[in-house]
Amino acid sequence: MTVKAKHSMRSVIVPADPRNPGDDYLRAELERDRRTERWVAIKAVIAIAAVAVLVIIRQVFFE
Amino acid sequence: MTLDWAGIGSTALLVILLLFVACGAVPILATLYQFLAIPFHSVKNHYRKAAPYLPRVAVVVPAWNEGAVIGASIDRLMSLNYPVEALRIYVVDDASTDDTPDVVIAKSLQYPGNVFHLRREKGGEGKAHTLNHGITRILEEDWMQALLIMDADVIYLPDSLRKMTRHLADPQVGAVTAYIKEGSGDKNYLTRFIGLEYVLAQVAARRAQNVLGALACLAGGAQLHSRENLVAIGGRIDTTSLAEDTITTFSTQLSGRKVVFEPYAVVLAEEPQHIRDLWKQRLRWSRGNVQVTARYKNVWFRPSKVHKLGTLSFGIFWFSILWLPIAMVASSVGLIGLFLLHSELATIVFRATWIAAACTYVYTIGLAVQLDGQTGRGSWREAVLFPGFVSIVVMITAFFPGLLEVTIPGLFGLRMTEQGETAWTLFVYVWISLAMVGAWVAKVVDGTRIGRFLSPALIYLVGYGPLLCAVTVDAYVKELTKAEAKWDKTEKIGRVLG
Repeated sequence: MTVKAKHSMRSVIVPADPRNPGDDYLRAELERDRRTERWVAIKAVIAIAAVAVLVIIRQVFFE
Repeated sequence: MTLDWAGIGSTALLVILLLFVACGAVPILATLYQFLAIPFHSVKNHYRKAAPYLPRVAVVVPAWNEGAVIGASIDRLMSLNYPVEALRIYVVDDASTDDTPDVVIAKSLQYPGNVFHLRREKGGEGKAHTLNHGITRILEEDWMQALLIMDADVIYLPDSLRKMTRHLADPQVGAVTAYIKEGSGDKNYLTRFIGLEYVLAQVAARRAQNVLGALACLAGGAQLHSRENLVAIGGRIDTTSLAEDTITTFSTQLSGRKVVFEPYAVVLAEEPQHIRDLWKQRLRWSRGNVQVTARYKNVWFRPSKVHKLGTLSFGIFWFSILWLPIAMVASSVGLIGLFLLHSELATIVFRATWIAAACTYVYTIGLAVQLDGQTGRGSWREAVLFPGFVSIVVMITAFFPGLLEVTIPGLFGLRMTEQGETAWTLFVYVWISLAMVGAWVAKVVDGTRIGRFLSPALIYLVGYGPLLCAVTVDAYVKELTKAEAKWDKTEKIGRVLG
């Protein structure tokens, strides 16, 4: 059985019994982690952008 | 027709020196390739094949004189968000001489049917022997569906175990590992460097290994095996090597099962605060890796339909770490040789190598600090200085030519002399090798009165990577001289904050 957390602005499902959260909760947790993982690509783009800034500075001022 | 032997010899020498410099570029490019694979983990991961699954888990905890930490570890395990009826903890007491047996027996009374005390009267043979004592006992019964191997001092975050077990719902997966995060409450410069290293080597690199299909190592403090996998690899942990975790990881994959890294299962661990302790720990790991390399000589660079340990990319990753010190020295020798023969060519290849190093450093650190923001924020100084202050200066020299040699001195009305330029050039060419010497000095003075200030200063100056390279050199020497390979346990005193 799962209940909705009242303290959160967003509707976050929390298990009534954390030790036995039930398949629905576990499936939602898995889906949440899978979606969170998409941010890794965005983070990589940000890191690449930092490299690009350095390369541009080099090309503009030091070539 | 007469051959121009002098010309041929000169060209051959030039090619050899260029190959030497290329040796230094291989680890940089291998790291870059590995980290460029990380974003693909957004879509190429194991979550689609994972499913809710809470098997009966037997936790085996090797313990030798862990009285200070074992009680809290058991309490933490028993408070995991995991069905209590599906959890058993077997503490294998490796002939402890402190109060470990008393603490564990008290816990077995507090948690009847969940906590078991197994005593080895003959101890000190190493972690693998201790684990096998417990595994043999656990396999005698049918109860266990999955086995979690951990260390006595680590702390599993409440949801970590169930985030690992969900991957075992896929029968193709033999083992799962978690993110071992440096979790000391009283961090110092070294634990912050180690924390960042773990982000790079686990949270980042193991995502790439998930994508590429071959994992180098299940973390010793967090490896979950299915019963089928454990039986398939012989029902025991290898006792003939110092890298039993890596042997288990390789055995699992060689038997055709997958190994998965779960980044959201977090396990806190206490790591060394002093270089001498880190050196001892890493020497064991490095010697273990040298042994693994020899043992699997028929696996490297031999692609297989069963596993991906033999792929070109995995082989390059493995050897670029193992041979990193050799590559660094070869690179310096190549640059100095080119400087003496053909200084313009030396300048070109120096710049190319160090520009690649600078780009790789910015990208890898930039990505790592985002992947674990908490560690990134707490270790920002170590993130900036991870390659060492001097290497950053060398990168700036290569990336922004003239900035340090001409522009900045010019602001103060200064100009570098020709001899000064030559000395500076030679210094930056050999720096990467000198850095290992600097790291070794940091180890030598560690523990002395002057070392309290000099060791951290040297590590910030020469970088954390060269320290690990210096350990690897020590491992080469110890393996070549067949020095005694004894199990030196890293002392843990319960500094982890859950």
